[in-house]
Amino acid sequence: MAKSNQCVVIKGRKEGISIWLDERADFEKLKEQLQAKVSGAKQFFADADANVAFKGRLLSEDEEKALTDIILSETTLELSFVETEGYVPASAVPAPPPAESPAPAPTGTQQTTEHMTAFYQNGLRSGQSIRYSGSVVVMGDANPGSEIIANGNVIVLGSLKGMVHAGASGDSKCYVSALSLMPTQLRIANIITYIPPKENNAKENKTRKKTRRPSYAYIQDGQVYIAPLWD
Amino acid sequence: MSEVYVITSGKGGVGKTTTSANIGAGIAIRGKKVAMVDADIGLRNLDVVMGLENRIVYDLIDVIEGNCRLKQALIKDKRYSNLFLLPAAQTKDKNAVTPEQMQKLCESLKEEFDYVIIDCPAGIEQGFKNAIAGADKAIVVTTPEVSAVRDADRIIGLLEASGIKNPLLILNRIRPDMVKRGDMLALEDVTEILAIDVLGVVPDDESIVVSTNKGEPCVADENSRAGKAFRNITGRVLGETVPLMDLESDQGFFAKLKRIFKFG
Repeated sequence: MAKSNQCVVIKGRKEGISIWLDERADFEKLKEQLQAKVSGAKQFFADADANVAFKGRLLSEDEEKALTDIILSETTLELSFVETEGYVPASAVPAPPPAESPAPAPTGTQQTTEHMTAFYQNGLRSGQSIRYSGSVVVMGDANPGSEIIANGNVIVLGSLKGMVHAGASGDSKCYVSALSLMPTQLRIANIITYIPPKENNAKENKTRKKTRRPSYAYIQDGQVYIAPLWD
Repeated sequence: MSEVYVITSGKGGVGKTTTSANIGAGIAIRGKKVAMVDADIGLRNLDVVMGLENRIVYDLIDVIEGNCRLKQALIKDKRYSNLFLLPAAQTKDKNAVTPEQMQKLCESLKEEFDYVIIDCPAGIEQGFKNAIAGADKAIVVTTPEVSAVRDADRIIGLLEASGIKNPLLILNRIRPDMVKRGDMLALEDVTEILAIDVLGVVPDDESIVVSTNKGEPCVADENSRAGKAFRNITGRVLGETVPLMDLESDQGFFAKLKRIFKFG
């Protein structure tokens, strides 16, 4: 993809500017190269408003900020949205698969934009969290006290009982799906909601638990709806 | 092959110390050489529960700082000659020890003893990190309350992250009558969330309060239901297959009395 001495490659795409970063290069070197490239190609950045995506490397929040600061200081560009490969807390997701997996759109919802998907092969316990710039698939339960925050969709192959935020960057077409959808709190784009328990009674909750079916939550007309995955 | 178990829970007051005392004494009754380590520095309790408070001369910090030899700090139990306690310091705090020092301490205890039982403090900070540093296996104690189960879940996550795989669960202080009415979480509800193997279920029992105050672990008490539960747990720790206690029938004296008054 890049010559050996090049650790920054900038590409213009119709959805915005994509900046590929070498994952093995020293971060200081990356910053230098980015600085040189950006200042040498000011016309390229003539757009007043653009999306920038950093690819090829996991960035921490600080690193992401350092890079966007360089772009902002060298150009007149206004960044409307910065996307990174995502920063991931220590114990969480393995590197995302290179291929973009198209998100399966459940019947009844609009086709959502494609996202990179991170697969998490364990369940999530209380206090564990996943943050990812694309979609997230968890193969296990997401227990109460856990957090899943994704810019794309969230699918849990188990019971979802923690906090979940799909479309965290504001995409209201994103959805949340789980074999048992009982999140402590459910957020899609900028809507925050929760699933009210039918009765505040242990016995009732027990029967409720058993009848809970695989379902998904989505936004329609500014409201969160929950529907079973099949009838 | 000696084994180091840490007894932990996250939440306070669920019965870590009582469990430690009873498992320690239980294994000692079965003839193994056991060391119990109170890792709750600054809030030591295990010595009180064991009734050994008045025999403390040196403590864990003294051993770590080299003020005494390990053998000098180990207190021999007054009932079981193969049970020893390494008490916590009361005047220091958790930051007086590092995980590396605990690891070293556990290694030297392993040379002497068949089983080492570490009583972990509540919380997930330094004290917890110290307590689990030298442990091979973990026993997570919880009660049938959502807050305790939530904390246990967090603890299991932290244990797994620090390389202690497959912790075992003890569900403490369960009340079968309340579970039956649907007013209390049942074992199945707890395991559904925590998804780990169950080492035992201990019924809520007044005899625990009595034995704790007396400084006598109830595991030796033939009439105590909690004592029986701890004897079963001891058996399982030693590798035996013991079926889970039937909590419904064979109620203890107090429960029987209660039942008579309630329905009579």
